[in-house]
Amino acid sequence: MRILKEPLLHFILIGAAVFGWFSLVGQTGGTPERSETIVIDTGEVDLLAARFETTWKRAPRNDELQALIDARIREEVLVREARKLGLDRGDQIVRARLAQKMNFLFDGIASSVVPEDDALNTYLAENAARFTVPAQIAFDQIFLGAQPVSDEIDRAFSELQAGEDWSEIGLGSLMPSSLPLSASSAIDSTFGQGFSNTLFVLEPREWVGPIQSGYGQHLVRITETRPEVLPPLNEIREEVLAAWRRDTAQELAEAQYESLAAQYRIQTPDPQE
Amino acid sequence: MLRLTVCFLTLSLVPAYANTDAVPSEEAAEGLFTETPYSPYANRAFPERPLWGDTHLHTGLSLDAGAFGNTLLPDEAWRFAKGEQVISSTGQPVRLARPLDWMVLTDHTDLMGFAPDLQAGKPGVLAEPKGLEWFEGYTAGGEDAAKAAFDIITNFSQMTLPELLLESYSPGADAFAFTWEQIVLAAERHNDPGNFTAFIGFEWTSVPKGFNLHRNVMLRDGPIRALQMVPPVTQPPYGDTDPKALYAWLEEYQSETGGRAIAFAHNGNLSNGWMFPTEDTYHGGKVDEEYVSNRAKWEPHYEVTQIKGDGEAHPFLSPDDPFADYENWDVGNLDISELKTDDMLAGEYAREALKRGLALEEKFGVNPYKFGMGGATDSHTSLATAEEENYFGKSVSAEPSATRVLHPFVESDKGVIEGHTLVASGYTAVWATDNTRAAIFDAFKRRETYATTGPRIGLRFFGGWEFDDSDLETRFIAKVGYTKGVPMGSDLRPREGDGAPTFLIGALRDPIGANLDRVQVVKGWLDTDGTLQEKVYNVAWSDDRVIDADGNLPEVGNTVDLDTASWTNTIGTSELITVWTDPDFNPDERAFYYARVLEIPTPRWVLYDKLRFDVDLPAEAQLIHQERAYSSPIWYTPGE
Repeated sequence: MRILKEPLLHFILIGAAVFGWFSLVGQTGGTPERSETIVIDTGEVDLLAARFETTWKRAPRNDELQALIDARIREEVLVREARKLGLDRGDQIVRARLAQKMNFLFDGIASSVVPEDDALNTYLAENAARFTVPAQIAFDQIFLGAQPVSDEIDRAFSELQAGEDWSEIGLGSLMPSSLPLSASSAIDSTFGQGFSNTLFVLEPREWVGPIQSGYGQHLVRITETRPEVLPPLNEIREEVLAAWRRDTAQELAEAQYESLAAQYRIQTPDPQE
Repeated sequence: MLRLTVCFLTLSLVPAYANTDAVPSEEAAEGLFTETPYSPYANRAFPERPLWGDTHLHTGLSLDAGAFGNTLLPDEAWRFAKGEQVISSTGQPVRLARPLDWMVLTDHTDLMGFAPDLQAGKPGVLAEPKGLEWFEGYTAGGEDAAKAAFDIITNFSQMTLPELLLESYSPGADAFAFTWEQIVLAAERHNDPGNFTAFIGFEWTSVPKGFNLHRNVMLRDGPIRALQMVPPVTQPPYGDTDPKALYAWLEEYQSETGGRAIAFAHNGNLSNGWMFPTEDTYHGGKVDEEYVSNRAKWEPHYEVTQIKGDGEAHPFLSPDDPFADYENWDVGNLDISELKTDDMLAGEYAREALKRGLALEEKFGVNPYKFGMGGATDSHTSLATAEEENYFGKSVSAEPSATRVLHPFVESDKGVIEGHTLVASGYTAVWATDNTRAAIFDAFKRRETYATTGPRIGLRFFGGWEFDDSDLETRFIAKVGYTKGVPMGSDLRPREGDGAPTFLIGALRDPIGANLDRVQVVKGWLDTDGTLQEKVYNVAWSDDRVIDADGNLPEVGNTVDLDTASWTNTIGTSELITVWTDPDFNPDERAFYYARVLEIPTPRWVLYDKLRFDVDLPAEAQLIHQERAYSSPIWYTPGE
């Protein structure tokens, strides 16, 4: 019985059994209706040709185009049959891909919206802190030690009053004695968290202290300040637009989901049971 | 100070002379160099504060990071480094305690951009059976996803990736070029000269048969130059794992675009001896004149400490150094397909490499291992976290959870690297005058950088021939250091007189961190018999401890409270400054010197996990450690 050893035949028989089983189980199963047609119109052919061209940088030859069309038909037949057998249901990949495509759809909507300047201006005003160029401050400092006694503080002040070179007063240290105009993040990364907050409220050009840093007490003299500025929209349009899109996409996606989810009654098992 | 000024002016004047035939008269030049400038801020050409950054970070664009579920792309990585709060791939809000000043984003070039397409289930990926299998694993999540990720990495390191996928995500493919463009443009968007520097870079991921020969590359340039080329890969036929291929690419990049680039290696500890060869290279080449000159030209920096282990020293190589046993990963190569043997260690650790460099310089006249030191996270989460109490792990699978300390991080039939041995390290500090691509890159080239395991320890290290104790009185240590000597990363000036080298060293604790235990100088030299030697000197320490006749110093103590993961700065000191003279100097011996600073004991990240998640840790998990900083070396070469 040579025929039973033929692998191709085995394959076809097993296939027939599987399809038969699925059509029994699947609710929408059945043989294709005679009236069902597959239409590949010229628009679709053009699309296939264009796709070929982006990969190969030339138009497909006739036989290549025919092969593309055949593959397209083949895919369509298999997809339709797979749907009828319900193969798309319960497949984690298909489900994940579908859910993801919905998310792409939401994102796509957000990124295609071109907001009016008014909307961006409002957004800029509402999120001013995110776009503000932080204030900067430059200062000199005298280090008095981790826990100076009041005598030491007084001595430093009287030496300053006596006109001595400020950079020789107090204790020597590896900390910079002067910082050029710096934002609070740069100051705090050098002197410890919160140090800059104290500086920004000080009167310029006067020695003030003691002020606490991560290392101890200092006398400080502000030498220059540059206040924070919120640049006008024209100067930072790209940045604002990108942030607006990011926020809007999130809001939109959430709103879309909420409105879709609202159409369902959702039941989950009662945790008490 | 005068010398420094003249030097700078000369540099900037040379191109001008080259363009004109005019030479200024002596009268015209008079008055250019006055002793004391009118402006008190003039001549402050030296940096005031170190700029902190990470030279090594991966986003979801990297093959392995994305496969592990990292969904954060370069924009999020940059925003996080700048101090903004982001939501991690596992949905946890996270923010840095202090923003970084700069960063190099280094996604793996091999199959660059494949991971996001895998996550999205793009048809091109699913068409390949392996791609479909990985996508199924990825979407199933949990164990299946981890299995898929490891399968991807195994196929990558054993070079068995499906051909079709390789072709679609390698140089020549659109997807590859677009991903590179995405990386370059994101860096450009976030580069903010003066405030934050975003470097364009990549990781060239050479790992033949699991032996880690990775190099990161950083460009000095912006998109105009960076986009003229695509970065190189290692998988044949599109690339090669031999570093020669990378050097060729760097050469081409510089000549084609007029740009500048450097490369730097990391994790010699996972190379099984192949990172710092002296005779044969892994790829069958010889360590010859071509090898040493290429390596010296392109690799002026080494990433000495990071999440996958600290690579400064190893106890087997430095048995007399009680602090050498620190966060070493010495089980095997990267995928533990081959176990480690003692004879491999000498080709893996930075201190030994610096020593080998001296011997090779004696032989070839060029030192291939003359590198500066840096630290990096090599985090694959898009999050550059190196601080113990805010540690987001190596990969998405190691982001904070009750189980991350319990799971092995790498496991093979030969060995295992446990999750609790991951290291919350490190950062690189750069002494640059400006926070710009040019200024920071140039500091890397002259090796004026140092590594820390995370804390922002301040470290000044100058070498010269005439530093003395009176220099400790100065209020401007940098001014004295730069004028009387050379900074970290340099060669000592030619010897004057018959003295030994002197070093001006200052260390300042992290302003919100732990006190300092001690400063040490590590010296390596090639003695007159041709033998490589090393010695660690304690040079400054806290708490009036008394050093014994052999130079040993009692331990600083320990204040860590294991129940609260806290410590107190009641031991140690904020600041250590000293001038040290080499007591064993022999002018005929090549030598290098670098500073190592130790903090007092503090909690390791696992202790925070234990308390925050209430987990029982494996008994062997280390709870306490002494974090540290490593300066770049200063080299001495005997005169004629």
